[in-house]
Amino acid sequence: MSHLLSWVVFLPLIPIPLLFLLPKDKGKWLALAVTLADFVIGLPLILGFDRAMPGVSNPGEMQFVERATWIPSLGVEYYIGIDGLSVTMILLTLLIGVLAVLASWNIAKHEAGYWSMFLLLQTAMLGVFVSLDLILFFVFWEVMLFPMYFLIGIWGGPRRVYAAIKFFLYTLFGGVGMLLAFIAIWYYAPGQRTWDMIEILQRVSAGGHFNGPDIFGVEFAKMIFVVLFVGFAIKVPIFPFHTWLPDAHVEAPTAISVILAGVLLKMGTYGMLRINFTLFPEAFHWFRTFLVVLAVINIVYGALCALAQSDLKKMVAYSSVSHMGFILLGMAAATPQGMNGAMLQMFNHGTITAMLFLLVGVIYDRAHHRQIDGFGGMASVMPKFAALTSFAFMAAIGLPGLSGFVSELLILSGSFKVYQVATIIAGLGIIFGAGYMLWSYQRVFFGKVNEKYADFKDVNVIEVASLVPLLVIVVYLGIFPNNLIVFFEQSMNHISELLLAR
Amino acid sequence: MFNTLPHLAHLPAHLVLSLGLLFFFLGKTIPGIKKLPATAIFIAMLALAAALEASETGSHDLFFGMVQTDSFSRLYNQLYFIVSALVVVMLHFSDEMDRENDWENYGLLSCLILGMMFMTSASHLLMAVIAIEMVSIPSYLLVALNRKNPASKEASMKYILFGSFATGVMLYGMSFLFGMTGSLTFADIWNGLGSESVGTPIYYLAIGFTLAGMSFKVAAVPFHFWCPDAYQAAPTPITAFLSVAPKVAGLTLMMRFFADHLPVQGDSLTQMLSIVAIVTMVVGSFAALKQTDIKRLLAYSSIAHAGFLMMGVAVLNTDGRQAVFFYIPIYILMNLGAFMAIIYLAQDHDYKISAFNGAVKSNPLLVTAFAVCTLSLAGIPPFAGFVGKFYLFKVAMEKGLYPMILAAGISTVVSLYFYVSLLKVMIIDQEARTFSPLGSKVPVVFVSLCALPLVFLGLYWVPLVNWADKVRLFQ
Repeated sequence: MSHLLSWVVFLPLIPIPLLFLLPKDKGKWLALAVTLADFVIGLPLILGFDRAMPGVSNPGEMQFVERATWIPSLGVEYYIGIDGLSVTMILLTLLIGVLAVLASWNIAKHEAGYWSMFLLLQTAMLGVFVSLDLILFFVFWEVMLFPMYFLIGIWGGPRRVYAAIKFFLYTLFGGVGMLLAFIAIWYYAPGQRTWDMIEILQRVSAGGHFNGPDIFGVEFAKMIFVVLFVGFAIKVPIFPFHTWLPDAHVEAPTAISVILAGVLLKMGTYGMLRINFTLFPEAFHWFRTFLVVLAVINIVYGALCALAQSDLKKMVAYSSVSHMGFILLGMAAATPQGMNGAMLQMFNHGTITAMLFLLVGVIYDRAHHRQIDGFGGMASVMPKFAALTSFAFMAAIGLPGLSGFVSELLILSGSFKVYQVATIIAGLGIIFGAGYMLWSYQRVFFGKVNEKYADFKDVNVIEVASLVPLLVIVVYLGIFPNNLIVFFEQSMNHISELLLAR
Repeated sequence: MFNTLPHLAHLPAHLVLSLGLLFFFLGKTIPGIKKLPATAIFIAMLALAAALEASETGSHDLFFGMVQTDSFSRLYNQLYFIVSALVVVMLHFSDEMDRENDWENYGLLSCLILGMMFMTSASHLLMAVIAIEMVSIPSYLLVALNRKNPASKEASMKYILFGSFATGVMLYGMSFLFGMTGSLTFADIWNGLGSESVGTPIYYLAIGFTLAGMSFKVAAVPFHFWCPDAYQAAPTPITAFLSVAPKVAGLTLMMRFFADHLPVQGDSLTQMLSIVAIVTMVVGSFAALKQTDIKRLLAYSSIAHAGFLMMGVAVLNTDGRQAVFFYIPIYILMNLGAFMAIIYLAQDHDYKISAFNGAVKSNPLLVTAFAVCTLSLAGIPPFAGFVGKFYLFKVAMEKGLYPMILAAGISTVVSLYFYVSLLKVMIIDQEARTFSPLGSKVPVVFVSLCALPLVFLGLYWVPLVNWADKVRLFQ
């Protein structure tokens, strides 16, 4: 048994002591080398991944499994492995990691601290996606919090302290509930007590039940389902728990916004698929209509908020809320198309929103503000930048031929079978999406040139280097979406089966 | 004639401490003895006591059921010795107490430690009261000994008044219990109360009042009012000591007192203790939000932690006892680490939170270690505080005490806010003043040595959990 997966997860931690020995301005090179190396050693995971194995509820079908006892008296294990669900997210995390290093090339404050927090965050995120033990999952999940707190709080914008603590409190609130739910799942698991989420899922899918007592007069499964849902929903974020997101995004440095939107939000939906919905299929059905309502609120309300923003970054943040709503809609529909669309959207939203935040970062670095109305005529000042932005905006709108279109189409066609009205309303979200994207594009890039900014330099090499890989992926997946779908198709179909079987 | 020698043979550490007590109080009259290094003698005494305690085995019922020594008491005693030794190191680096009074200070500490050991071993309520007073009286004096803070006399007075009130209430409750059962030995009380009295007002009144004296030592609500004042005014190392050791002793007394309850009494007792736990957690964490003085903030944080530990007491089973013991070494490390860091960082004994702005710039290593202690207090993985909380949550969940779990969850989130605000002040905010570099490296080493085990235990806590296994039963 090779320890490849552990290496991928923990490689970013190894150079942290070195950071404090190197000269200040060399930290970024080390970080770039490490994230690149991590990407390279992660490639065998993706290339050697057996796409025919669904995993999810079959312990035997998890791949690259590593298992060791950790705390014997409690039965906690170091148990990691991947299936179609995780492998996609690993790929996304490794990719975004490299690009985020490029995006933070200009960090010039406590560099060693920044990069050590950055790399710790990277390990924590990878850890969440590979953990198959509830406690291990939770530890990685929470370890993410304090690097994120410091990254926003120290290197962020003017209201960074408020944003950082809001993020921390919201997530911890969800986290405490999650921990309690995990303990309850362990204690009342069907059969023998175990923290092994795959094992529990297997028992549940074989007809096992959690035999817990009513909690505050609510049925055990429903209560735990809701508590878990809140924990994950805060991360996604789902209305009404979304208010930390615009603040965090606006105040976070560009690279951290990229990670936040690109990877962190996906942990919420990942957790729902892996733990929340699948372990409690009955409660899922009981809650399903409400899920659809929440998804539609996210889509429409997020889009309307985006429409009302005067800050470019806040607009992108709310567009995230809207796009994450699509993922939830696909998952709530639970049809195979809906599920596959949701997973594809998780990846696509990661790449497209990362692009949007990188682009906002480019203009912010030059103008030191992000007021949509404060620019004008930038297309003639920065033509390359305008071209790249128009491309990213089109992808976010869901232009056919680009990746966002495919996933939204899959989600909407998947959910239309089950929830016609909701799907039609969700369709409005796309129209609003076109509205805010095009309107803001017009205000920033067309019209009279703002004399103040007439001497801006166009995008530089580093900025292009961070954008081009995403651009290529967006086009490629727009034309050949199936080359990514094959990785998770079996897993998602299996999850759909598990959910619809009850 | 009752032969005391065989009984005393089972209390070697108590004897060492008693001799130490006499030595530090009376030895001063011997000419020339003041030249001896008091600190070294005190630490050597603690080490000897710990070694003797570690070599003892078995469970012994001593002095007609007054005192019981067993694995439970021995493990806790060792913790007391460890805390005391650490606090002596802290005293060495603080100038808030007169160094020339070391002899008296160590005498008082010896008496205090002895009292705590008897609190942990007491199996009779009279013994418990005597032990509580043995802890309280030196505490009143130690609080008053801060020569840098005139408020310490006032705080000490408040402490005395609350203490005597709590003892009075406890004695009143005990008189009920004696009237109802004709005995004050723990096991006889529960047998005497039997099943018929469960649920009657007098049952709750008697036990509740008796609990009051113990709650006072734990600083559980509503017997916590002395705590912030005393903690703020006391010399900081003494604050650190009081925030850990007597609280633990109070908890051990509760655990031993309630351990022999009859099954029929279990639910009513759990109910009473959970109410105390819930109120303590919630009051502690919410009151801490408003604090502007770092010592007061840590005082309320210690109240909240006492509430957390009460969860482990309230479940009234072996798992609960294990969870409580498991948390305590972690709590010692993080609390003493945090206090040591603020002693070192504070200038001119100004413990206003705003006086610590931007401390990270001049003392990066120290503040990083402090951050580990604080995040651990907040219960964030991968630091050990999380694991401690996890076990307490787990035992409460197994017992199905959902209101208590809800309160603990809320209190965890609320307390995160003030811990993180503390880090914000030290790490994110701009430097408000210059921090003069102090000569010694020892404080930095001390705090780092508190922080490193917190990281280690947060990732691998098997050694500690195995150790904690021994307090499950009184044997």
